[in-house]
Amino acid sequence: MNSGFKGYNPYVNMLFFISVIVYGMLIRHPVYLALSLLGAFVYYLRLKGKAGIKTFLCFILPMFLFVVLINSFSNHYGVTALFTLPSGNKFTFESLMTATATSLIVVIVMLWFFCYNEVVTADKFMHVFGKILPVGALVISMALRFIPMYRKQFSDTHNAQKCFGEPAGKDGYINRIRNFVRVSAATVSHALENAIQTADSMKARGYGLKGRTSYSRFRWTSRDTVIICLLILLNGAVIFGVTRDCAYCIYNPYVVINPSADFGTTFFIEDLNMTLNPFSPTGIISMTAYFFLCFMPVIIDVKEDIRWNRSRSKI
Amino acid sequence: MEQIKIEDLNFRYALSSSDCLNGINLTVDKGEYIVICGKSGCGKTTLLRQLKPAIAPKGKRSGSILFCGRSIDELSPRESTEKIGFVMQSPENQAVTDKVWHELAFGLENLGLSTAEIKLRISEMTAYFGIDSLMDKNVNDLSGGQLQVLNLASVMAMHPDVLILDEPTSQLDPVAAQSFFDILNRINKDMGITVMLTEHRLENVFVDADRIVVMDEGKILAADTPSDLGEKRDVLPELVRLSLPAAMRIFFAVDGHGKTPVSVREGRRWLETKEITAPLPEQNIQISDDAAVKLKNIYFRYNKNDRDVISNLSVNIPRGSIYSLLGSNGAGKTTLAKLIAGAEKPYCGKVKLNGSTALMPQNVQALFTEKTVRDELSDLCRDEEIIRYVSELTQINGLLDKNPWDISGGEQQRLAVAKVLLCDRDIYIFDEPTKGMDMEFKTVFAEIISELKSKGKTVIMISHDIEFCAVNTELCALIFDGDISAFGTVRDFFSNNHFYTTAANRISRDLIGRAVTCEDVIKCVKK
Repeated sequence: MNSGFKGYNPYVNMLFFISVIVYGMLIRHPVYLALSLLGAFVYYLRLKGKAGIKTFLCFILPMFLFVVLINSFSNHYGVTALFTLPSGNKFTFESLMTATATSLIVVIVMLWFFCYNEVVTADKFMHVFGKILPVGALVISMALRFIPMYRKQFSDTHNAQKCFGEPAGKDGYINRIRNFVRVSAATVSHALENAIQTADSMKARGYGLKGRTSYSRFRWTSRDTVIICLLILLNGAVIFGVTRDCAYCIYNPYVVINPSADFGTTFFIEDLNMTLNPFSPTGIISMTAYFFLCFMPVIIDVKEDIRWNRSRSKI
Repeated sequence: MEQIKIEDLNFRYALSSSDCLNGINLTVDKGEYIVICGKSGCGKTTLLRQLKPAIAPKGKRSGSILFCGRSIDELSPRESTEKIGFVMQSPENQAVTDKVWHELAFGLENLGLSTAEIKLRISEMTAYFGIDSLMDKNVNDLSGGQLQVLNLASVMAMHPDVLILDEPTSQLDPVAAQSFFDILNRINKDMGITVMLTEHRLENVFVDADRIVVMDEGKILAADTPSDLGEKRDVLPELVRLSLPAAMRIFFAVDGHGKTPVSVREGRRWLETKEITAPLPEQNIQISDDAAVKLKNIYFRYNKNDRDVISNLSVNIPRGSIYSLLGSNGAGKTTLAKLIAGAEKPYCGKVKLNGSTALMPQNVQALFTEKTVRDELSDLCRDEEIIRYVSELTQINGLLDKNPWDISGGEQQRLAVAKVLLCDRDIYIFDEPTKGMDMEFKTVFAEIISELKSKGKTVIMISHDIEFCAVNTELCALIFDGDISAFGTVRDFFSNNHFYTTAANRISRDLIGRAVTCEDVIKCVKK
């Protein structure tokens, strides 16, 4: 259940997701987008299996195409017209590129959040949050319990009243509102009454004694140290590249993906007015780091699978 | 060794004019198992709470309570948290956090233990209580019985010397209650932890207990071993006599001599020595041909993708009968009640009702929406005379001006019965009506349902309470796996079952044919 990347310490999981989501939101460079998209997509499929393919085909892909079409058909900036629309406006290469990049960002961030939901469970979130604010963590834990409990009490009360008091024929609109208010008030009294008992139970079990600790089921192991060092290193390399303009790109008025410079080879595609020079030495370092960052969970999971199979075959 | 010594304890609540506890003297030895019984409001809970300073009620106290030779007030808050464990009545309200593992850790976190120590204690507790499979679950997903075991485990994790339990099983069904008591008995016998317990259902705890303390009006009437209690039977209040185990009741009723039998096994041995004089008189049950409720091949499920809760169930409930539906948890009893009351509709099959229905739900608190008990009643009926009659019948006439949330659990149950009676319907459905009722009110409730019957009403009871159903109903059906698996008149039904039957039937099986209740057995045995 908690194998692979899921089994690492919540802090490792959190740092990873914060990094990829922040980069996913800020970087519009096509190579980086492609790496992040692939990393997120492969990991998502690994976590969800067949259900993941279904979500991708039925929800993510249509949404992606929709955003691309709407944006590229309704924006007309840029210098490279591909064809003319019936309305007389130009359909431009630049707006198509912008729309694709924007849409990819949405998809990437969404996929990473889907993965986040699978990996960082409420327990893990509470572990991180509880260290920062222990009382807040207890309050959230209590709220998570009480809210469903009160909802159940509300529906119990509502049902009990339904097969009970109200004689038939008094089912008017006003009466329904009045009934709703009554049931709500009763639920509130119920909640307050029961809270007194909960408070007694907390006191009886020593809540309020000095020196309360916070128990957590997650432990920090040496492999967590390794991975967190690796994460910091990769982040450093990515940031190093990005601050040296490796992720520089503009889509308006014409597409430039890294301007021509002393390093790397510059391509110029005349039909599309596009300048391309993505693979400078710093760029390659930064992109490789980004690749390993985005594929980190998948690599860890696959490595564990291989190790497992190997140990099985030895038996 | 004396562990708790209570001397001349008097207690008066802050706003009260009379003493709630009156000259209590009680010594509890280490490792003893003590059951305190008495009517609702006799001071049991107040007495127990005096032993736990953190939650002791406010008021005037005199006399002394010594814990291991020291006054209980001298214990530091940490000591009293650790040494004295307290389990309360409501399973839901004592749980604090959302996850099972966190609930187990909660008390230990408060004591400031290290993560490694907490982990060790939690793993010990889950192994001992057999709840390892529940560790990752949400507290809200547990059944009442599981939740109460969790509450016990999380108190035990703090390693108390004394365990105090205030009616821990009153909200549980008898099966869950029995397994709770089994665990409690194991803790007491295996670990030598002192147990002090208040309880209505003495049948379950009598065999386990070392001493029974009988209280009435703030005084201790008797504190003796279960079998010695028999000698004092004349001073016992009616209520306690009614809640004694079947073997003891039969023994007392026929004026037996020698050692008082307590368990079913002892009861059988004693009965074997007795002469069976009279045959069991036939029961006279008249069943009308007219059906009040007719269900034909009904199927029901809550969600499209769930399994059927009720499948292909047909039942015919005759008009004017008292009909009980028995069965284990999750068998579909409550669902069936909802289907009859019309709160849910079957997706297949026919429900035919011959009259109007009223349903008293299992969670009676769901019925209360007003500020006072009087308003609760007058909401349903304008006639003062009828309200007075019903409130006297259900013994809530003294509570009319109180808030329904301020009265005790047993009293809330009575108020719910009163509300159902005021509805004036043809068919009454009670879902677990005897849960949390003391023996005294059970007798009153039995009279109420037989009066309903005499008025030609139909009473349907969904219950786990075999003993109550055996005495007070005419027809029984056993629900299993969404269907009715056994059905018959009370005697046929119970005498055909071997396990799912009354204690009196188990005592008299093969000795007296078809005897189901204590009265049946008593009638057949010579004085």
